[in-house]
Amino acid sequence: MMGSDARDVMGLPSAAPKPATPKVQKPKGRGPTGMIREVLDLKYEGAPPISIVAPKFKDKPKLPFKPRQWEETPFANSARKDGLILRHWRRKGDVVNGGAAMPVTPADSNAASEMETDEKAPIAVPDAPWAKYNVKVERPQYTDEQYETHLKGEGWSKEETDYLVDLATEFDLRWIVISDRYDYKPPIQPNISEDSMAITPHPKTRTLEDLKTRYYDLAAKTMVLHNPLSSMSAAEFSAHEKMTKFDGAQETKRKKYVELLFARPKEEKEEEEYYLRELSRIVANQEKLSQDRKALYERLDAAPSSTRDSMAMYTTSQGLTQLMQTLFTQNKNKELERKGEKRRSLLESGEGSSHNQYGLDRSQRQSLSGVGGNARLSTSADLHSAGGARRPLTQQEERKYGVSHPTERLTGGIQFRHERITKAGQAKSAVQTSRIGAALTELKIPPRLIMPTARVVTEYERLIEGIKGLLEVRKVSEKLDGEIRVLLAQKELMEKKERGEDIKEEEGTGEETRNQEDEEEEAEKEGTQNDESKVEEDNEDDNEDDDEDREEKDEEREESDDEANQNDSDNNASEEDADGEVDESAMAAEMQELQEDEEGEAQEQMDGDGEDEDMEDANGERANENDEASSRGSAPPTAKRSASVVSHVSNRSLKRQKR
Amino acid sequence: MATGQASTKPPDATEYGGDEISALVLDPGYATTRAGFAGEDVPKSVLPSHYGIIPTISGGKQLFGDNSIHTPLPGISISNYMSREGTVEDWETAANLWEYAITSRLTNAKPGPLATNGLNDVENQEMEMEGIEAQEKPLRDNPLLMTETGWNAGRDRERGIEIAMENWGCPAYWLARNGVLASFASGKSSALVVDIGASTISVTPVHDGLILKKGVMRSPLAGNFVSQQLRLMFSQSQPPIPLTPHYLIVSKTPVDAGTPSQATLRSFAPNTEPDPSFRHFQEERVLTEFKESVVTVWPGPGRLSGHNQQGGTNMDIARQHPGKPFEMPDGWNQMFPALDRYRPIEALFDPKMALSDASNPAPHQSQTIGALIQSSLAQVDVDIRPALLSAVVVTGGSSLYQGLTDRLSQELQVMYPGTRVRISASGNAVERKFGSWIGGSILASLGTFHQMWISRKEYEEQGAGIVEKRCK
Repeated sequence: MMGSDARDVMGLPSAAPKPATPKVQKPKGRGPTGMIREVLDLKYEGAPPISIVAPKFKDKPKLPFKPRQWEETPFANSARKDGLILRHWRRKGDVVNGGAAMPVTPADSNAASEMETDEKAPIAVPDAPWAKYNVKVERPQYTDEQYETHLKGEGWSKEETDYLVDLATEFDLRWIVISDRYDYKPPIQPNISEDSMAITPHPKTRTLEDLKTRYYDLAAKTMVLHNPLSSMSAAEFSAHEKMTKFDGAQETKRKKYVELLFARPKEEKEEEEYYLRELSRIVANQEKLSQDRKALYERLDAAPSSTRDSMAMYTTSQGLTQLMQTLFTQNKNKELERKGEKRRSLLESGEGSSHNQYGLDRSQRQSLSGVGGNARLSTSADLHSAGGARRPLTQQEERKYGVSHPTERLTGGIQFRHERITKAGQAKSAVQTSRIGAALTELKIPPRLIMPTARVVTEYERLIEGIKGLLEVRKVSEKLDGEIRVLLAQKELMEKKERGEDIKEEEGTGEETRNQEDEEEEAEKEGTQNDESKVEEDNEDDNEDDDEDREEKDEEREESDDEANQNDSDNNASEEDADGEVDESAMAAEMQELQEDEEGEAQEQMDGDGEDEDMEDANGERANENDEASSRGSAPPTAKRSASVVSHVSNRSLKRQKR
Repeated sequence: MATGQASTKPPDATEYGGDEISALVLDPGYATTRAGFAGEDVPKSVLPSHYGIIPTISGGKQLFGDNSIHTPLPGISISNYMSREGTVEDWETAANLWEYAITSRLTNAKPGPLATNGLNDVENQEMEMEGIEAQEKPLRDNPLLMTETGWNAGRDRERGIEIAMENWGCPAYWLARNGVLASFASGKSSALVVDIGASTISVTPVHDGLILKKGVMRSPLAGNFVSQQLRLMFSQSQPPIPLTPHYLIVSKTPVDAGTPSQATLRSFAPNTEPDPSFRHFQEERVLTEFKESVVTVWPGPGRLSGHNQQGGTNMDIARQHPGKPFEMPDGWNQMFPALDRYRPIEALFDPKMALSDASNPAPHQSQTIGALIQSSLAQVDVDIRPALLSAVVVTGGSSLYQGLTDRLSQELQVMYPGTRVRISASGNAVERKFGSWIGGSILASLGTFHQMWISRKEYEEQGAGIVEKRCK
């Protein structure tokens, strides 16, 4: 029932009426009904649960093709000159690969092998596909005449040359074999065989190089004889070139070295290997190093623009809070990690854990403060604490990583270290930036530092600061020069007027103004004492400038009251000027000493300010006056300012003596 | 259910360069003579080169093959057609034995024509025999490739082609050096072939499929030498170890190690006992068994007679190595200590360790394997020495001693520390034993070899001397 349904579904023809299978006779007298069949089967012997299949041979496979026969096919080889016919098994009706049938004359084939006689001698047997592999070396051809005229070689008879050429052709120029088999005997016995191992002393022992030299010489010459150099093809010419360039002596020398190399002991070989290994290691490392450096430069080039952009984000208060939050969360994560680490290290050792604890606290504090303060600090602290858990950084490493231990809180916000490189060279205005650049080029310092380490950059910053100051001062001095010129012009005008009026009055007023001036100057000096002292110490170069200024100043002082106000600012300017033109190169060296001296001087000047200075100044002024009176045009450098310089220097020398 | 599709396609001949022309390869050696069809991987017909002679009224009947020469027939004597040099000595017997080797296993004897099969014999034999003779020759369809040693020279080279062409009617013939073939068998065209056979151990430098004659070196320190060492060892031990071959044993009872054997020996009626050479030959078989199962090469480092790094002698170390028991055919058995296992073969590397007596002088240092390789390389151009050392092919039945290739490798490393030494020896015992035959099988089945054969026509035109000209 089910089977026929399935057949309908599958669309198969209905099964042929089955032969009536004999129903398995149920054994009679089975046990009581109501028991499960399997159990019954166990109890009573039922039919065995296996089917017995009568042994039957496997059907002959029905192949979808007709078997083709093999047949022994004769074939010839065109590389052979004797027309040998061999036979191999081929499929009947197969086209022989190689295709081209080689015509063999019946006479040939008959003579070739007698075995063919009982077969129908094939008129044309196929050629073997292997014939094309029969490649032979071209033998240098020469006649007796040619030999006599061109090809004679030193120590070589024609017979021996012929023998050599034969051998070279025979062994296809395998020189190692040729020299092995070379066994020429002078033609005393006419029929010598090349290979006979008869032990007769060789008339001449020819080395491999001898043979090669002779053969190449001969071959090159015959090449030219048959085909002059001018009409040779490129390949031929290069072959000719190679043969004429062969140097037997060089080869012999090379062989000697090879022999030495072959016989060298193991130690030498190992040593060489070691050196080669080292070399390759160094080369590999160098590549890596240069790559690293390149990558670093690329980064530095690209960095400023991107960081400036990113910095812009944090200029607003909103941005700052955002930054703070991100940093805070980062820190928290880090903290969690640390705690995990701490637990681990606690298990490991108590000592290490305490150290770690400290590191944790510190980093926590610093990274928190780092939001408003210095990110660099926090990262370096992290580094330090992380490293501290394992090993403390050495002095050198601290310098390398820019670790600093500031005692007070740093201000200035987050910054990258590399920013300092470009930041230093920049000023508020583009004009000034370009001026700084000009000054740097004058000093022969490249705008981008070659090796911007932390130390170099610090120095660089100092230099730039110096330049900035210098520029500032120069600006002011230029301005003042201009003003002075204007005032001089005014003065001349006024003098012309006054000459006509009272001259006596002039003196009295002059005295007054002078006193007034002095007082003012003294007050100022106290304020700018530090600066002045610097000037006095370092600026010998600038003294001339200073003096000029002084002259001008002094001249002015003799002028009218109106100029008194002006003088004040003039003095200031000149002082500033001097201050600015500090020699940068000497700066660092003198800094320490300066600071000490400054302190001392300030003290001293406080003490004797009232008496000494007044006196000095007065004297100086008077002298100055006298001089002025005597010779106006060429004012000597003993100006009031110079005097004060002298006094300071003497003070200092005194102090030094005391020490 | 179409099966066997693959078999209907012939292999593409160009794929492996093979083109079989039902050539035969015949490789005679001192211990065995190998013959088979080219293109197969093992020789089908392997016969001992020893043959038996039974005296008959007409002179003597020759017996060939393992099936007949081990029977202790009355008066049977054993000889070998090969000389101890590895070259054919007795050409007449050689031709018979070779023909037997070929026809018994490979080609079958051709059913002769009715005229000559003996059934229709007539008194006057004036029939035309020309064509018939050609037909009944055993190898008229098969080109034959024969092998020879590297030092075979002169007339000996020509005898082979004469037999092949005149007696067997071969259409083509070739004579190849067995060193070259052994290197082909291991897939190399340039190699330093170390062939350790039964009678000789030879070193053959092969360059581009050609031997370098000046570099061919040989010495007799091979399998037979080891047997001789064993005989000396047995006779010199206290008490002497008896060596009784199998054929003498009728029955035996097991005995304890080292105690005399209890065996009934066969007795021969007067004038029916075999020749002493038969006994010697049978003893050799026992020794072969001993060599195969007990003898081992000292694994190094250094030589057996040398000292190790700790200062002790290697002999002391060897004494601690495990021994191996061996039972003689008569039931006598003993545990052979390790030193006895190393000792017989050590002379191949170190002549100082050789056992000797008056008739068996100790070998010379220059006969050891290392010295042979050294002198062989010295004869070869320095440019190819490293290449040869990196392709040392070890072949031959006697190279199958346990640990021999390892030891050889060590020795060569010591001798040539600055060069890479690489030994290539097949792990398969059959390939090692039949190395040169396998190479011949490869060569003779190559399509490109067709143009090399010396054809019958060439032989008829130029005579047997053509072998000298063609087979370099």
